[in-house]
Amino acid sequence: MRTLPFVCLLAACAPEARRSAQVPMLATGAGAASFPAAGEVEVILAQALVTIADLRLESPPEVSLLSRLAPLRSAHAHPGHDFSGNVACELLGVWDLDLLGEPLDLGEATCLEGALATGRVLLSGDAVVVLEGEAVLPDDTVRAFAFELPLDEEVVGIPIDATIDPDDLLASITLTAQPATMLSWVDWNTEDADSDDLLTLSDGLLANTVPFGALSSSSWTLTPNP
Amino acid sequence: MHRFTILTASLLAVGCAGEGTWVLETWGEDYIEQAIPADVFADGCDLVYDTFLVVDSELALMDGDGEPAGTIDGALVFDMTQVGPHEIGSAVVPATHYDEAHWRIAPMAALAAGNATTAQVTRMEELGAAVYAEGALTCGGTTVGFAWAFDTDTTYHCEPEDLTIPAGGEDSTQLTVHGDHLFYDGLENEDAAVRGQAIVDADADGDGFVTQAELQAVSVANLGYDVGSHAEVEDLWAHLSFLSRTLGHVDGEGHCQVDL
Repeated sequence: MRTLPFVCLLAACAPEARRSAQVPMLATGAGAASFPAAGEVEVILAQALVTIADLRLESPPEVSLLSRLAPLRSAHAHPGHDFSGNVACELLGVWDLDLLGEPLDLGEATCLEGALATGRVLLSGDAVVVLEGEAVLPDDTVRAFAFELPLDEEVVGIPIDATIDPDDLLASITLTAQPATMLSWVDWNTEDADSDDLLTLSDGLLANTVPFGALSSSSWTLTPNP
Repeated sequence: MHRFTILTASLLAVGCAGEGTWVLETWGEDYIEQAIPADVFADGCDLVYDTFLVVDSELALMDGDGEPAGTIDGALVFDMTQVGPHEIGSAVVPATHYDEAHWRIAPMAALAAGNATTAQVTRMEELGAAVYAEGALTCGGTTVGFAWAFDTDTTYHCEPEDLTIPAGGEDSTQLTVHGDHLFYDGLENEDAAVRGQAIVDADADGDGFVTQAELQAVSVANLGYDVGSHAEVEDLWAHLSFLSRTLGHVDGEGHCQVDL
C-alpha cells in the first residue's frame, strides 16, 4: 500500500498508447501531358518519370517532453527550425512513378492513431526525375528539352489534413506529383549554350531551377481518400 | 493511520517546495560580436556586423500546465554586437524543474533599452523592426555594405537545457542569437551551407551597398537555394526574412519550435 501514491503518479504521467493502423498509399501524376506555362508557352511532355522512396507522414509539431516518447523517430529540420511533428505514418520502399501513367499502388503504410499535418518523400538517384518533351514559344519556336535530375534530397512539408482513426479508416492516401508546377520555374528562353538543339541542365540556370521545382513542396500534394 | 501519514507528507512536500529565481540572458556569440570568418562560408566570404539589434518580448517560463510560472515584462532592445552575455531580466518562480520557455522577437510599438542606446531604441521604433542587422560582407575581394530591417514576428517555444530552479536559489536560461543563420542557402535542409556570394552579386547598381529592393529582384530558384516546404519564398529578400525567424536558440545550440 505504501507504493500506491507512486503507482498513481506514474499512471497519470504516462502517455496514452496510440493504436496503429495500416493505410493504403497510392502515387500518381496530376494534369495533362500538355499545359500552358508562363509567357504564353505551351509545354508538351513526352515523358515524366520520378523515382520516389521512403514515404513518411508527420503529426502536427509540438514542444513537449511527451512528444519525445513517440515510438517512431521525430523528424526535424535545420536550419529553418520549422520542425515537423513526429513521424506518424511510414512506408519504406522505392517506386518508379510514371506521371503520365496510371496511379501506382505503393502498398500499406503503418500509421499511428492521430492527426496528420505534413509528409515527406525521398528523391534519390542518378536520374531520379526525368522530364522530356517540347516547349512551344509564342512565336511558334519549338524548344526540345530533356531534364534528368540526379538528386539525393527529400521533398519536405507536403501538407495533408487528415486523421488516422482505426475505427474509421481512410480508404487510402494519394501522393500526387505535378509536373507543370515542377517546370514552372524554367525560363524557356534559356540559351542553348552547347548548341545541341536540346535544353538540358547544362544550359543557363536550369541546373538550379529544375531541381528547385522538383523539390518544391508546391509540386506535390497528399490527399486523404475517405 | 499509516496510509494517511504518507499521503499527508506527500501533499505537504508538493505544497512547500518554495521559490527560486529564473534568470534570462541573451548572447550573440563571436559571430555577431566579432566576425563570421571565411572558413564558415562555403564560398569563402567573410562578414562583420557593425550593429545587430534584436527586440525581445513576451519572455516567460512555463509550468507543466502550459501556464506562465514567471514572466519578464517589456519589449527590450539588445545590441548583440556588444560583448555579452547580457542579462534580460529575472522572475521569481516555484522551485522545480522546467522544460519550456517562450519568447517573442517581433516589432513592438513601445520599446525599452536592454543594452541598446536610446538612439538605437528610437531607430527600432521608427523602423518597426524586430531585427536590424548592419555590416559588411566580403566575397572574392568585393565588399558590400548592408543595413537590413526585418519586421518578422516570431514566437519561440524552447526546452531549456536541464533547468531546475532550487528553492532560495537561481538558475538561468540563455536566448542565444546565431548571426550566421541569415546566410544559409536552405531553409530546412540539415546540410544547408552558409553563403554570401549571391548577396554580393545582388548589388545591381554597383554602389557597394545591397538593399532590400536589390535582394527582392533575385530569384532563389535561379540560385539553386532550397526553400524546403516554403514555396512562398521566391526571392532572396524573402529568403533572408524567413531566416531572420531562425536566429533564436536556447542555451547555446538548443533548437526551438517557432510559431510562424
